Amino acid sequence: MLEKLKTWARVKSPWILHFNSGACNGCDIEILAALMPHYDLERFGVLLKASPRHADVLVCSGPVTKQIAKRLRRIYEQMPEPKFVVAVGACACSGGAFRGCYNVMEGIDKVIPVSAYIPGCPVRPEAIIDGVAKLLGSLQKKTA
Amino acid sequence: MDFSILLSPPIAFLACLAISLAIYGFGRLVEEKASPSPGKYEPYACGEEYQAEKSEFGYRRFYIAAIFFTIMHVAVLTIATVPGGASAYRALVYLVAIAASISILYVDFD
Repeated sequence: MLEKLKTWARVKSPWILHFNSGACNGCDIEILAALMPHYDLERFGVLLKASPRHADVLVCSGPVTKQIAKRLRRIYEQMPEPKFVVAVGACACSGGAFRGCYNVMEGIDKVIPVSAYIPGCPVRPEAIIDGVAKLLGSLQKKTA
Repeated sequence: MDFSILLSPPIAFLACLAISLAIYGFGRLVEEKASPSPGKYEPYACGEEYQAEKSEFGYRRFYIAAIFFTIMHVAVLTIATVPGGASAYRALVYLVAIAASISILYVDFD
C-alpha cells in the first residue's frame, strides 16, 4: 500500500535535471522543446529543476567527455534515491558521432547506470516524450 | 463537550508539535534508504569539486550598536521628560548608570 502510494507520487511528478555531458547542443535544444508548451512534457508532471538535490531523473545528452565524467558521477551521487538516468541522443546512448574519439567515454552508461535510452541525432521531442512515458510506465509496472 | 481548551496556547503548541512529529515520522517511513557515496554530502557546484568554507557570521557588532542606540533613546526620553526643580538632579544618577551600562558593551569578554 505504502509502496503504491510512493510510486504514484513518483510517477505523477518526476522532477528532472538536464545535464549536457559534452553534447553539440542539438539534443539540448530538443529537450527544451519537449518541455515547452508546444510539446508540453510538463503535462506528465515533469518539472525541470536546477539542482540534483531536487531531481528524480537525470536527463543526459552528449557522449561524456573524459573531462566531464567525474562531474557527471558527482552530480549523480548528489541526487536522492531512487534516481533514474535517461540517455538522450545517439551520443549519450553509445558515443554517436564521437564514438572512438580519444577524449570521450562513449556513452553515459560507461559512467553511471542508465534507466532509459532515447536514440536519435538529434532526438525528436516526440521521442523524448515517448521515452519518458515508457520510463514512467515501467516504474508503475514494478510495483503493480 | 467543551473543546475550547484545545485553543489554549500550551495545548495548541503540543498539538502542533505532535502533528509535526507525525509528518516527520511519516516522511522517515516512506523515504528511500540512501546508499552511501562520497559525493552525497558534497556541496552542489554544477559538478565541480568545491571545497566548502566554514564561515561564521557574527551579530556581535550589530547588537552593540543596536543596544547602544536603544539605551541612548531611553536616556533621551528620560531626560526630556524629567520634571524640573531639585529632583532633576536624580536624572544625573540615571545618566551615570546608563553610561556604565553602555561602556560595558565595549568590554571584550572573549
